[in-house]
Amino acid sequence: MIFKLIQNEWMKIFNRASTYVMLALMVVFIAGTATFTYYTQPEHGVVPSKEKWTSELNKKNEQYDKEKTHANYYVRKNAVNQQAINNYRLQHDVSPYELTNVWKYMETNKNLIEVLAIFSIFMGASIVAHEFNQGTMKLLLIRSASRTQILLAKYLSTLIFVTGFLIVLFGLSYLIGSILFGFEGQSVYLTSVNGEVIERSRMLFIGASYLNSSIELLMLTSFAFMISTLFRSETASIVISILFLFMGERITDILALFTDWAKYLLFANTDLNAYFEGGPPVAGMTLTFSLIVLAVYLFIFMSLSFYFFKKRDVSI
Amino acid sequence: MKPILSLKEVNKNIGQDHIVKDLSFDINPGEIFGFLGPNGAGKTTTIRMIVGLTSVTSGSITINGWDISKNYKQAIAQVGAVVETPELYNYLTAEKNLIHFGRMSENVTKEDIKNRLDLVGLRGVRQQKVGKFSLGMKQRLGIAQALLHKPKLLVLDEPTNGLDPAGIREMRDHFRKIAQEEKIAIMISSHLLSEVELMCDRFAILQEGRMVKTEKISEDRDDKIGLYELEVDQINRATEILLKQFPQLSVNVTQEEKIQLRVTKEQLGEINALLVKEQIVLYQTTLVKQSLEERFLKATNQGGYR
Repeated sequence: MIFKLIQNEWMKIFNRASTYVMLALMVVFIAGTATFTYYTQPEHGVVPSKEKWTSELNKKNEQYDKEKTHANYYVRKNAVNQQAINNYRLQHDVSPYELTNVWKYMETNKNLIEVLAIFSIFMGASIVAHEFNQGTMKLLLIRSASRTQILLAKYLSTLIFVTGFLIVLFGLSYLIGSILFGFEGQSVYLTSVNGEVIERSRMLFIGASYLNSSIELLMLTSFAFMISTLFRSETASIVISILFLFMGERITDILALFTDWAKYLLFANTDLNAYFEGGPPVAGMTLTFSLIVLAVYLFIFMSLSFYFFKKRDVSI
Repeated sequence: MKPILSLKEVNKNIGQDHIVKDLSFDINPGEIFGFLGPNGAGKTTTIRMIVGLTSVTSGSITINGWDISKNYKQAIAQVGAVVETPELYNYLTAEKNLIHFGRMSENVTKEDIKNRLDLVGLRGVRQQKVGKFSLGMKQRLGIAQALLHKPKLLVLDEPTNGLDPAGIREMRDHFRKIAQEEKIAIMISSHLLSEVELMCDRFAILQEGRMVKTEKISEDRDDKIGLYELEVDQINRATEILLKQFPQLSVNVTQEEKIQLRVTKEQLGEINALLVKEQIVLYQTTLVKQSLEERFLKATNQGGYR
């Protein structure tokens, strides 16, 4: 039964205009970043000389020395990490100016995951609320499929949709990147966690960061899904979830300045990339801690959704 | 005969409000049952309970022997419903809408979908998106959707909304055919009383959540007052005599020169005898069936016979 229900959701998703609008927008954005990156990439001849970038890095390091005693934790953290990377470059003769290759381009396109986050919210918010708005929900519920099955099918379909979109973004970026920019250039990536510099393979780093982003997408989608199940209004769920997306991180950052309790907030934990790059938003957090917090949030979101969807009367 | 739908002392409270009060009735296979009542009487709430959209506060609803509270899945599998305007997926074609709902039940084949489209006369437009359909076409597709999984009970909330007179007649014939051929019980709620009258075998009137009255449409009980029309040769003299002998009666003369009066069968016998005695020729006596609308108004205005 659940398979047939997912098939139904899939049929509905692919017959709605909004799906194609989102796909088209994503293609336009990818074309945009490709065009921009293509015309701004450094040419072979104009890559700055070693003398030039050495003096630049030294100058920056002096600036970071001052910032290392700054009152703000973020400023301090950033200064320590950036300085460590700069020192590593000076010691190992790794230029900060690199040729644009497919991996560099894909790193740029990581920003498009924010766009995908909005699409995921739209999907999570509309898949339940749209049926309430259109009145079709009652026709779903007066059949022998249980409410739990119907909601589960909708949730799984949303996750498949978001995963599919992430694969489209990753695949298209890789395809366009390899055609336009090729594989030439640096293949290592420097990152620093708590002042310790790590040299990573660009390819692995990109793969890992797209995967990490999918955790954030999962949490946002689930949140929007919950709001849409509870409020049954498409507009309300989209607005609340998008506000949540844009305000959540800022509010978490601000609260983190005042209290350690901020580490229990959802957005303090959604960016798992922080553990591989720069360090966590609140000192003392670990990857395991974040995964547990995320699991608890996910459990709460889903419990509320399923409980209320099952229990509440449906008006006509 | 085992009833298909059986409500026993069903109550529904929403907060402080007592929406449905001790409602009990049965619907038999092959029967078309009219469910009437003014707005806010609790008709829609009752239908919502029958199709499982709303919980039952107390009492029991059984569908083909399955209790909706205890065996929800089996009970609901016996029900097909069109609740108010059928809201279908406007962005899907008629056929895809049926495929969608067909997947939600077991044993719905492609053949079934074709048959239902034929039944409601939408086969020719099955590839069109429902958004382009007229209200009447949507209503018909809604009925096809409700019949897809061969239910034992068909629940229709205001099924003639948005249909033109020809469409209403057609739908009425469909309902009759379906009820008889497939031994389905059909429950129709409507405010168009004349429609229900033409369609239904039996009806119930609901007021303020309580059953005011349930009775058969075609049969009038002996003790009931009926409206009769008498065709006589000397109309003025007959009227005079009747008014003299039965001063409590209201006697009207219609445009077709017939005497109309409301009497019981016994009274009619007496009138007959009287007219014969007075040597007035009585050509014809007809029972003008009391229209449902009249009974409906009577039942609800008087607060009902309890």
